[in-house]
Amino acid sequence: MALDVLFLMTRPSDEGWALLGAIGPLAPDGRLEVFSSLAGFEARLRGPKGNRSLVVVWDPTVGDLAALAGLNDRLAGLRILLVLPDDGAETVALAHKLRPAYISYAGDGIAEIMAVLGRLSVSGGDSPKPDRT
Amino acid sequence: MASILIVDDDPLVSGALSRVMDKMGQTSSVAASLAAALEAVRHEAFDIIFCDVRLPDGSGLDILPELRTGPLPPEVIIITGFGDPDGAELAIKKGAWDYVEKPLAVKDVMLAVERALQYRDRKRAVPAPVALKAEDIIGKGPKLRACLDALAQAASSEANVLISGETGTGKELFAWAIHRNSARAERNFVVVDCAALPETLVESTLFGHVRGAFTGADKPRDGLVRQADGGTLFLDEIGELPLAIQKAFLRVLQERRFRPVGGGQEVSSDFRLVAATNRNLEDMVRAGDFREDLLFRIRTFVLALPPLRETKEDLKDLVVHYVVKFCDQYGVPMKSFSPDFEQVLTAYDWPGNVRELIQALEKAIVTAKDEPVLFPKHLPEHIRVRLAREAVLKKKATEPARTDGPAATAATSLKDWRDAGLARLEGEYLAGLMRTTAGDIPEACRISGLSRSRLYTLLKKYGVPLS
Repeated sequence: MALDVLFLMTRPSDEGWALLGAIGPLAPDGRLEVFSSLAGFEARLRGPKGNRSLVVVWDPTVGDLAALAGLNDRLAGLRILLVLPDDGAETVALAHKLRPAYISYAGDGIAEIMAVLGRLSVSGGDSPKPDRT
Repeated sequence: MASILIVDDDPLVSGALSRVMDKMGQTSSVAASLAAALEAVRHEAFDIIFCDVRLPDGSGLDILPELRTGPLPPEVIIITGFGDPDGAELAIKKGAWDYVEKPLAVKDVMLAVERALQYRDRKRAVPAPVALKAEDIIGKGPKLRACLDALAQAASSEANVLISGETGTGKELFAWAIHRNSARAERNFVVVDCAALPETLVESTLFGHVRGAFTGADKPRDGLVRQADGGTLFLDEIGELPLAIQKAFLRVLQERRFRPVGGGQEVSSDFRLVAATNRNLEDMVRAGDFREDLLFRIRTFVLALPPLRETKEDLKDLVVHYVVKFCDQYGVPMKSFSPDFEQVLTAYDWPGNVRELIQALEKAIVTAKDEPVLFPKHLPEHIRVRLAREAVLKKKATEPARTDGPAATAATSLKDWRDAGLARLEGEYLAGLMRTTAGDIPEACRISGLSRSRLYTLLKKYGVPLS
């Protein structure tokens, strides 16, 4: 089952591009939208989400995480997967304010988050997260 | 002196209960029907309500939420038939304080009243909670209010909480509200989305790992259990947790200590557990898919969220809230609703619950753009199609039996045709059953082989009167 993904990468890196490349086949036919700035991402959330049900955030800064936490209302109904830059207490605490479905770390590669995306694509778990209402 | 309401249409039972209450020094009043009971609770605050299951205008169990209203809702003691475990189970599941069996034993009645009054005294002694932070939870119907009361109780305790409810009923929202209103609100609320985790990642995600624990583990990582230290660990869709992890997690729950993957040292975490499921965990236990000991551990406090089809009184508040929100979000003028728009929203049974309603409203706002009034045509097509099909089937089901040939069946699928026929037959059978037994429920159960609760459900479904 194809995924419908909003992908936010404010700090591009080889690993980030690798993740984006790996997600591509799971979200074909225009089902993947990529944002390089928070402003663009925020503007997108102001529009209809349609079938979009999954948000992947690659390597956000602490400032990005704080800003995303402020968008919680607009992220309602979306399953959020975070790839954090580090596991410092502040980063982790901000990350949990987004109530993510999964957290991994940029330094750990993309295998784990791809395993989660693979499970979601098989189980149909990319349907809107039911209880973020 | 406590105030007791006795809801029973049998004057012998209500008279006997009144005399027992007199003897205990309590005041009592009697209502002989559901309607009279609801009228009574609107005018007086009772401490305890005795309520018979079988009343002339329906089942006492169905009005439990309406009876339990007010800042200190009365405790309801259900009067069930002798040897009716279904009735007793249903009473407790619906939030009754206790049940007593007919014929009533004075000792049992007095004990149940004494315990309920003791409980109420303790409850009164607890200081009133500060205003609940739950502004995202919309509605004020009796069922939702009961859930919010339970939420407040859960938030003020440290007990493990199990939230059950169909998909889209707002389980995560309630879990989040429990955390926000608890003493742990300043610490992390950590979600474990069990449905999203591949089995191979569950252990390291929950418990973390040490460096070198497995290929690629270049650094030690805290797991989610550790990150929830001091806060709340929310296990969403706990029914998806693999059996092997259930065993490990049970130990963590008991001891609040665990060993990271590959680690020799135990780590502690002082977390509060809230779990949620849309599955019947008792059935899973029977099937060997969920550990019974874990189920006992996690359901210290159970919060059962009703589906939207059972809380239609909240529909209007929900619709207004989300229409205002989406109009603001999309920068379009506020909309009014045509009467048939409201009718469609009310008629539809919302299998996807509040989540589906929100999506439907967002679609309606996007489709309507600058139009000032919302009509049914703005709603998603699947909703309008389903209602149209149901209307056709309902009409067919109420028509007298005919010998329909292939031409009459060609307009619908075999399944729908069969379902409609089955519904008609069930309705006719139940009407006949009630006529034959003159409304004698135990006899009707005996003849039909149905449990009492199932029989009541079907009678209600087909609108068959009790006698």
